[in-house]
Amino acid sequence: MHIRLRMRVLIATICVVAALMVTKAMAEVSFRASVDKVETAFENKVTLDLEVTVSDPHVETTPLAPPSMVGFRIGGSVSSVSQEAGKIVRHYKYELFPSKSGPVQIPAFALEYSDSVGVDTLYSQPITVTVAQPVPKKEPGKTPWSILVITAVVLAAGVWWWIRRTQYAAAETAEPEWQAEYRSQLDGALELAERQNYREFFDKGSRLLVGLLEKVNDTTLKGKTVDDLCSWVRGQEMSDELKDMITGFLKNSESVKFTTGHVEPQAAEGRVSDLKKIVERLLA
Amino acid sequence: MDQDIQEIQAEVEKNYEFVDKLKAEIGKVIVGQEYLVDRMLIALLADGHILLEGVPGLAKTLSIKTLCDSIQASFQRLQFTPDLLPADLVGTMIYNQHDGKFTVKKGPIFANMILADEINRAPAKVQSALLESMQERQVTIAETTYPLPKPFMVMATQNPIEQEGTYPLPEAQVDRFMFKLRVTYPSKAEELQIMNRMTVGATFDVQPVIQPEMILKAREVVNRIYVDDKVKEYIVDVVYATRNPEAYNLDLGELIDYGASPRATINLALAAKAHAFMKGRGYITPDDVKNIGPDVLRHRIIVTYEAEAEEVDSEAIVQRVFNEVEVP
Repeated sequence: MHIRLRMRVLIATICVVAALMVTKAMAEVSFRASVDKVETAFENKVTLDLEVTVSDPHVETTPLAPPSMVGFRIGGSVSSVSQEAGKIVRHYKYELFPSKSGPVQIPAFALEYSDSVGVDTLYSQPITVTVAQPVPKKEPGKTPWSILVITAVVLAAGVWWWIRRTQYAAAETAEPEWQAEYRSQLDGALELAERQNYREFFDKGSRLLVGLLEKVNDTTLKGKTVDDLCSWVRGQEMSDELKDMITGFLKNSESVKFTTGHVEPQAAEGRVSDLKKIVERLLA
Repeated sequence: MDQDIQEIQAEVEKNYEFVDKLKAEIGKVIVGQEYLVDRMLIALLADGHILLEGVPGLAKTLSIKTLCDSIQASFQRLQFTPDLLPADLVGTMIYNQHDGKFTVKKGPIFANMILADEINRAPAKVQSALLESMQERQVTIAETTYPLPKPFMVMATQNPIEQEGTYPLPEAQVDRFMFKLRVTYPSKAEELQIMNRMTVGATFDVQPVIQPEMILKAREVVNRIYVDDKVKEYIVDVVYATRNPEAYNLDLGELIDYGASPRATINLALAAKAHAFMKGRGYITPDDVKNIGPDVLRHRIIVTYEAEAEEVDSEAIVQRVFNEVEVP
């Protein structure tokens, strides 16, 4: 039983080799075709190797030309010659790319040669390669326009929303420009007070105050003197404390602005403090 | 400079006390009319004259008479009529039969205070004589010049409701009055008080509370009152705005024929000083200018026919000027 099995394997091997190798009776020329893989994917490279072995140097072979193949695209070819144990071995390698799926056959190649006996032709065995279905691949260049447009619109909307949100957030936290302007004016007035230039401090401070009252109350106070302003302030809706501070500051500023500007530093400091409070309250 | 202002302030505080005394004394007789009394005192302190416009019976004569009595000054009331002559006002030379010489007979204008009643009823030559005396503060009789007493103040009245047979004052002469005042009717409460006071047969003795010299001294203090450059500019702006309103964004060009004169600038500053004195201040504020401004300017602005057609008077124009000119 064991010997039988061995025999069968040997016979089978001989058959396969015989099927692939075409050999002349004197075995002077052999011609064999093989592929590196019999199963592949769509457009995946398959290398076809045609091997011609000549034992007699007087044997001439015609150059191999690739036959027309259906189901394969020939990408390139390379040939090489070597001598092994007194035999000349020629390899013709072709890069084949399956252009259709399913079983695709590489047809038989014909090799003509001539020797002292005459001219003969050897044929290789056709080889079947199984090509798998192509895997759908997304190609950027082929993305539909609608998707591109939708994507762009979504992206633009996202950017717009982000910008507006940032702006709103900034607006909620940041001070309006006009308020910043009045704060800047207040800083300028306070600087004058620090330098004890009270005449200019009261001048600038009273202008700031009148401007702020106009802005906050959306009115014009042009042409109003200090007495007019004090009467006007008394008629406004604000706390009595704030009214007192405003009228006090205006009255004090008048007495400093229209004289030499002399004022005791302690008294001036009180008015400086008042101006800060007034501005803060009006801005609030 | 600082020292000067402090000195002025001290002098003002020392001298202005008589103002309250005067007001209190006048108040014994005059009910209401505080505006008129205030302006009379300001004119007296600023060495100015008053043109008074108001219907009869508003205590114009009584007011100035009471003021005179309060300061122990001489008073004359002149009723201007169409047949009045300049000599009736300023005086003339009279031939004395006893010694055969001409002697000077001074007219009623030689008094501290003059009430020229219904000045527009006298012919132009009488008006001119009065106004010349007001300006020059002296009178020439027969080649001799006589100074008028100090203080000297004229309060002339015009009746606004009777224009027939009158000689309206020329604008150039009106300009010589420091103030033109419009006296209005008293309030209902004041009128009730007037009735109670004047219908019981009681007499009110007004005692002199100050001497005329005190007025002259107070005038010296008033003249020294400090006027800051900002306020000076404000005064000039106000007057200039009546001449060139477009420069101050005032749409009054078609309504004003002639604006206020430089004399208005001077009078505005003087009157504002006196106003500050009355408030006990040694310096002027824009409030003083604005408060007194309409009285100084209303008779110095000549309105156009267009303004008259639109019933816009100089009062309204002055008000707009003060509303638009920026206050320092």
